[in-house]
Amino acid sequence: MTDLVWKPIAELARLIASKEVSPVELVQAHLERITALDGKLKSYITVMDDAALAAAKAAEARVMAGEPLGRLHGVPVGLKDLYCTRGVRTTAGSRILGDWVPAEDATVTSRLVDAGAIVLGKLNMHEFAYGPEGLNQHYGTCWNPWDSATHRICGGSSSGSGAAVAAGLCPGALGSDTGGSIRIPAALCGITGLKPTYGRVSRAGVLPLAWSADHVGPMCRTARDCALMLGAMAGYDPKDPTTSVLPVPDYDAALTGDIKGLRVGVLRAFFLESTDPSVLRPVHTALKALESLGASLRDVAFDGARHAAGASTAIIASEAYAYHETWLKTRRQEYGEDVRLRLLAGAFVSAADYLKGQRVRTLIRNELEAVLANVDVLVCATVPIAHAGVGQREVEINGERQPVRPSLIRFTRPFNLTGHPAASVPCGFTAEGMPVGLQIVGRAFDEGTVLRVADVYQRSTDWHTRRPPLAG
Amino acid sequence: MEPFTIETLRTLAATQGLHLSDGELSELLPLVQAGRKMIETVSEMPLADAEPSSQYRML
Repeated sequence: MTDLVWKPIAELARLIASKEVSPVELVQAHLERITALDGKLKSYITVMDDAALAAAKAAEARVMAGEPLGRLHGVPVGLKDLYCTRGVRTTAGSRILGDWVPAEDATVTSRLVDAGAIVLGKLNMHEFAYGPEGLNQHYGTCWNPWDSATHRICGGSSSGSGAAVAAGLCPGALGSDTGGSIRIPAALCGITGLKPTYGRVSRAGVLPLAWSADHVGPMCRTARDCALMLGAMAGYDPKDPTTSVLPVPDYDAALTGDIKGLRVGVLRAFFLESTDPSVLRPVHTALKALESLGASLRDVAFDGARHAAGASTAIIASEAYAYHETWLKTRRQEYGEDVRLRLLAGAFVSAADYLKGQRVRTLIRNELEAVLANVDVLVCATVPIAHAGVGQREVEINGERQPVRPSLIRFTRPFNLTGHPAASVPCGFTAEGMPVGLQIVGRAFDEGTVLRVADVYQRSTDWHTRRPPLAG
Repeated sequence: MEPFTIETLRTLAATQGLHLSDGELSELLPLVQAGRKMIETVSEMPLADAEPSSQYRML
C-alpha cells in the first residue's frame, strides 16, 4: 500500500486501466496518509474524503465495465485552494473567503476531472497567493517534509502543493505562479513543477493575484507526470480570452529521451553569479550531466532580468490592489498582517509607474526572445538559496545578508513577466539534506522541449525519486 | 523623487477612500518607500518607443 503512493501518475493510470490497481484502494491509501501525516505537514486546507471515495468507486465501476477511460482515470490529485470547485469551499488561504463555496468549477478543474482525475482536496497556500514563502496564519504554515526537526518553509505560494506531492499525500497537484509560486515550492520541496507559457492553460475560475502575470500549471514528482497533467489541462478556453488558439501538442510524445545537439544557454550573470555555493554545486553537476547527455552548453546574457524586480513590483502590486480594493476598505483586519500591508502598498503605485512597468516588460520580453533565437532552452538555479526557516527574514548568499522574500523570487519572476514556459526539477541536495532545483526555461509554447530536457535528466538521475524524512 | 511622509500617504489613501490609522500608515511607509525605490530602477531602461505589454494573448 505504501509503495502505491510513490508510483508516478503515468504508471498509476496504466495499472488502473489494466485492473491491477483499484482507484478505491489508491484513494484510500492517500487518505490514510493524509490522516497520519498532515497534522504536522498542514498541506491540505480541505480534504474531500467522501467525494473522493465516491468518485473512486464510480471510476472503478467504469474500469470494470470496460468503458473508455481518460488519460488520468482514477488518479488522485490535489488542487491549490484557489481553484474554484463547485460545491466545495475555496478559501485562497484566506479568512475572507473562509466559507466561500463556488457555484462553478475552474476550467482546469473540469478538464482534469473529465480526464478521469479524482480530487482529493484543496491545498494550503500563502494567503491569496501573495508571498513566496508559503506562510499562512489562518490555516497554519506548511512544514517542509525534508526537515523533520526544524520548521522550514516549503516555498510559496503553492506551499501545500509542494509539501503534499513531496510527502506522498497526492501524486500530482495544481499550483499557480505569478512570481515563481510553482517553481519555488517545487525546488524547496524536491519535486518537479512547470509554469506553462502565458495563455497555454486557462485561468478561468482560478482566483487571481495579478491577471497579467498569473500562470497555472502542474506540480508532480516527474517531468512525465507534468506532461500528462498539462496535456489534460491545456488549450483554448472561451472563458479566458488570454488563452491561445494554438493546438495542444502531445507532450508525452515529446519526451523522446534524446537531447543530443540541443543548445542549452547557461544564465550566469545575475543568475548563477548570485547563487549560494550550496545550491551552485548541484546545479553545476547538473549542467555537466546535460552536457554528457549530448547537449551543447554555452553562456548567455539576459541583462533585462535585472530590471524585472522594478517592473514586476509596479505591475503585481497594482493589479493585486485593484482586485482587493473593496475588501481592503471594508474587511482589512481579516487579512494576515504581511499580505494586508503588501496589498495596501499597491494603492500608492501610480498609473504612470504601472505602465512604465509594462513598457519595461516589453523590452525584457523582446530581449529574451532574441536570446532564445540562438539557444533551445536556458538553465540556472530555480532559487539562489536552498532553504529558510519559518519566520526567518534574512539569508546569507555568498557572504552577504539578503532578505528572504526577494531572494526567493529573484530567478523566477523574470519569466512571469515574459510569459515563457519554465520548469524546476530536483538536481541534488545541500549538505543539510535540503533539495535544490534546476530551472529550465523554453521558448513560448515550447513546453515540449522544456519537459524533454527535464525528462532526459530524470532518466539519468534519481533525485526525483528520493523520499523526505517526514514522509513516514 | 521626493520621499513620501506619513501625511503624504494619509492624503493619497484618503483620495481613494482608504482611511488608514496612524499605526497602519507607520507600518506601510517603509514598504511603500522600498517599493518606490525598486520601481524607480525601471527608469534606467531605455524605454524609447516601447509600448506597454497590454496585449495578453501571445499567439
